[in-house]
Amino acid sequence: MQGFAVASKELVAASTKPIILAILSRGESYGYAIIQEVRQRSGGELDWTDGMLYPVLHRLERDGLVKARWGKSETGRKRKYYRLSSQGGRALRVEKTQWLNVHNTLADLWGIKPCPTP
Amino acid sequence: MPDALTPNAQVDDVETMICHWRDRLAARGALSGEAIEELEDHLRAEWQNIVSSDLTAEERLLIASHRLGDVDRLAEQFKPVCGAQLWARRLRWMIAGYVLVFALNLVVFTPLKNLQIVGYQIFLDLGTVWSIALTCLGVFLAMAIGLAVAIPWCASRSQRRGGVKSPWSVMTRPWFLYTAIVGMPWLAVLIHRLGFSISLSRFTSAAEFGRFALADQITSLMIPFAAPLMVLIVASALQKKSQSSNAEM
Repeated sequence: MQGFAVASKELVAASTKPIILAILSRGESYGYAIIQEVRQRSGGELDWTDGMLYPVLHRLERDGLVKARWGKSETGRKRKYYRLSSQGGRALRVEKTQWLNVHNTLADLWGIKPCPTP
Repeated sequence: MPDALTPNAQVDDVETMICHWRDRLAARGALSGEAIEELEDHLRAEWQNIVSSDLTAEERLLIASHRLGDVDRLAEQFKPVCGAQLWARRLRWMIAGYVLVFALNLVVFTPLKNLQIVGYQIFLDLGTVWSIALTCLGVFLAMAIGLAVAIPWCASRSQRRGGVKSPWSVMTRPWFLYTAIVGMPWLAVLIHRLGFSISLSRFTSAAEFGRFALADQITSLMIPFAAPLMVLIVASALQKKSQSSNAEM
């Protein structure tokens, strides 16, 4: 029943922002590495199309939630690195509370042990 | 619609394939140069990560590009974010261009003005200096906006209809766009003003000059429409030519 375990388009779209912010809160990263990390951490259940990430990153940059700089990759080519801004840190805390609220409501309804809220 | 990285007889080198992929992405007009560069970095990273001894470098690149997504879809996804950014940047360059053109105009034509003091006196009687200045600025603005719309439109239309190696992809490169947007109004106004200066010496009466000045104002208003129109005409002519040469092949 693998087909049912993969997140729906809507859920993927909604969770993109908190996931990117959470990954960047662990340190500076770039597009390809972010996608690899999402695949690895979700066990392939969050199937992001690669190209989808960049418009979201650029929107976060425009809104001041992440800061970007051009650096060099290990092969010496230009690479754009992103990191969380202080505004992004605050947005991440709000997202965390909201997502945990949703999670705990469902967990309570399903009789699962809820997560501690921040 | 053939995919950007479809291998064919001409495309046998990874760098050429990446180059074509970039050109097609650029021709969609939705992505900035930096966004394309970022996607190219992703494409290369994905390509290097596909480790298989059974596949050639070209095949691995083909897989990487499919994972990244179809060129049309990429451009579509970028439009809401990048479109506004592109326009904001074009507008900044346009404004910078007008200020530059306006300043150059003053520097270049002030000595001419002194030489043709009689003609200019009548010209100034027709309206204030400010109205002339505003007309000039309006002309530059309208012309640059026309070009900013016409050039990417021509390039994307040509790319949609044309083949992989369309020469129009160069038009969406920032350096071309900005040079055309800033440079063409300047060139048009320069030619127009030079013509005006030469004609000034031929007038014997104020009435004759008045008629000429009116015609001059009308011409100024037509310049902004003429330049984008020229781009469109040249674009369709070149496109027809490339289509007929494609048909011959």
